[in-house]
Amino acid sequence: MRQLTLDIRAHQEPSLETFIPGDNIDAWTRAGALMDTKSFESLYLWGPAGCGRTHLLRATAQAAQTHGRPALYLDAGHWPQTLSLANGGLLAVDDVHSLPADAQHQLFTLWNAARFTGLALLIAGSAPPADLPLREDLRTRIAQALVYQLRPLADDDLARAIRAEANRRGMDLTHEMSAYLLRHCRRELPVLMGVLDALDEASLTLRRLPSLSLLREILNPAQSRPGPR
Amino acid sequence: MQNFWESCLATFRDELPPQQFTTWIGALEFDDKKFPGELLLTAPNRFVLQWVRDRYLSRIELMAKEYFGTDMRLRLSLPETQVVRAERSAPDGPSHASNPVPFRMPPAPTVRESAYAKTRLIPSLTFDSLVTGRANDLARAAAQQVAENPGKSYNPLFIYGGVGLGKTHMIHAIGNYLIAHNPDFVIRYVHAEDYYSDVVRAYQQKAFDTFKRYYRSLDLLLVDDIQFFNNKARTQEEFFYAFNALTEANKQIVISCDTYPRDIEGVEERLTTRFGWGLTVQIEVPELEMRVAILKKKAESERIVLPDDVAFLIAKHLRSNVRELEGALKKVTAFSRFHNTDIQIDSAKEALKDLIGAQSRSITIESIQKTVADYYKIKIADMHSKKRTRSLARPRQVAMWLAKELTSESYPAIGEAFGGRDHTTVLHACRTIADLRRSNSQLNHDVHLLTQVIRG
Repeated sequence: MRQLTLDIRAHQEPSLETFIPGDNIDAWTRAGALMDTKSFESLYLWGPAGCGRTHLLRATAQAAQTHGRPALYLDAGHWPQTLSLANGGLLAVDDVHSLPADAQHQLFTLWNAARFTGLALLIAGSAPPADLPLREDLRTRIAQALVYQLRPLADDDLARAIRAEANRRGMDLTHEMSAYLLRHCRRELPVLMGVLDALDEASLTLRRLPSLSLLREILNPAQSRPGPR
Repeated sequence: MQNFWESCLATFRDELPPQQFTTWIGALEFDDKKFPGELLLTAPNRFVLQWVRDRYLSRIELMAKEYFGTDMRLRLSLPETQVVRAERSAPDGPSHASNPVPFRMPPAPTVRESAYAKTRLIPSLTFDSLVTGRANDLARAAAQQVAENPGKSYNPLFIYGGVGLGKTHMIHAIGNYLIAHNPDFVIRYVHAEDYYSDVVRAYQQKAFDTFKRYYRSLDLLLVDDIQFFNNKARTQEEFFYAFNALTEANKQIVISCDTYPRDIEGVEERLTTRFGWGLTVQIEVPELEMRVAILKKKAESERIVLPDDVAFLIAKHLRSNVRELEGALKKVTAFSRFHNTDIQIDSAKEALKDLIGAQSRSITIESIQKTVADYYKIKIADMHSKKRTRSLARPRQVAMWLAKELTSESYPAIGEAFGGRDHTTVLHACRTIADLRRSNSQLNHDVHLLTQVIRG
């Protein structure tokens, strides 16, 4: 019989401490420094989906709030009609590459006023400034910011990240299991975390401890398909 | 006591990867004089401070205890000057930090502001800091003429050109020149969007009289990006009246736009005709030498040593506008500071990658297979075939290794893309190539070259 599970998995709020920087240590420290109310820099971070953009933006906005800096995290898909943020605040804008025209207009206005309002900007998107499909006056302002490419994590760092996450959930993920994950799944953090989710859930519903054999069953239910792509 | 900190640094330098060392430990300033009997460590910002407190403080305390033979009090703080410095870097400063204001309404000028603040000019944008070249010398000459004889030479002065070429700089320079020579002049720089917001606010507050009086009282009105007036009828109407009032009174108007007056979309003809009454000048894209000069000037103003070859490198790669040049300079500087090196051509190349995304082309298994097949002069079909002759198998293994290194694909997915091979075959190929690279210099060279080509 299958055990029914309540979806009460504690998804962790992204924080600067849990961000594994790998080769992105420079971008990470620069972003982290924006929590300081006296920092007025504009930063642009770009990289493919899954490189940690959202984590870094959310975490920085959160850290800023904690340190008394008004901060707002917005992604292109959920842009509010009106915006209000105290002077001296931090605005984090995610997925800027798909920002709708109205929102581009608003961001452009904010950018111009930032000098007077003491606003710091932390922007993230999928492409280098030169390739952003945005209106030219906004695109060049982004190019004028301090730009960092977020580079994918190396296998060692990926392994560390999933073991840390497993540990946080109280799962026992052996080195053998993490090595198996890295061999059989796309080596991207969201994919690997998704598999951890599945393993966690399978372990609860089937009332079996997480193990290499359970992992194999999840990844190859019919022993025919390769891992998730 | 400085020796203590030196020994601490030496220990951490051994223990931590170089970047981590520079970021967290190297960034700290040590002082044992300020507070007698205490050790003071100053972190450059709150983030570093918190990180050091969480990760390294107890370790440093332990080292201090060992060194001095007694418990030492360690104080971790932020630089005192940081506050002052930061406030200076934000010209108008967030002085009303706790008053939330809607974003789209930049605060209207208030009586408390200084006369200069009311102008909304940026002090650093002057004729002195403006680099002149073929792309803007006509515009500059006209701007200078207007600044010296406001309302008398060309009215309006209409400056147009592409995004990020320095139109805003030019019109601020006029304002700054004028106020320096005529401190009593009433000057206002306004972005077209802000002018529109002012019209909206006047509407809401039924304050059109005040609005009109204010704009008609100016000696110099600088309007930036007038193309944003498009399809805003009431704004255009108000501007029409303000324009007439000011020009009739011989007050100077300077307008910037992204295009020639007649080509502005959604703006009434009675306005665009008037825009052409004075002098219309264009700012063009700066040529290479001018771009280099812009970079050198900017570096000089920020006291950065920028070698000529680096300036040329940046200028060669970023051609279309000045903003990108500034972004690149910022990036190169940040990179050299972070890695604690001088600005050099190699580090600049590295830094520029982030900006222009040299590696941004998406690398797929297919693109790798094609490049490798071309390189070894075999057919792409041989990447999928079952043939195992050395002349085909080796390139195939190289391609598999590259797929593993340059994409995120899993071993099974890579195997699948190579004619449905098992993931263990891919694993074996990767190990083989990794081993061979150490012993076979030709193969190592091939792999290196292919990596460069594929990354672009």
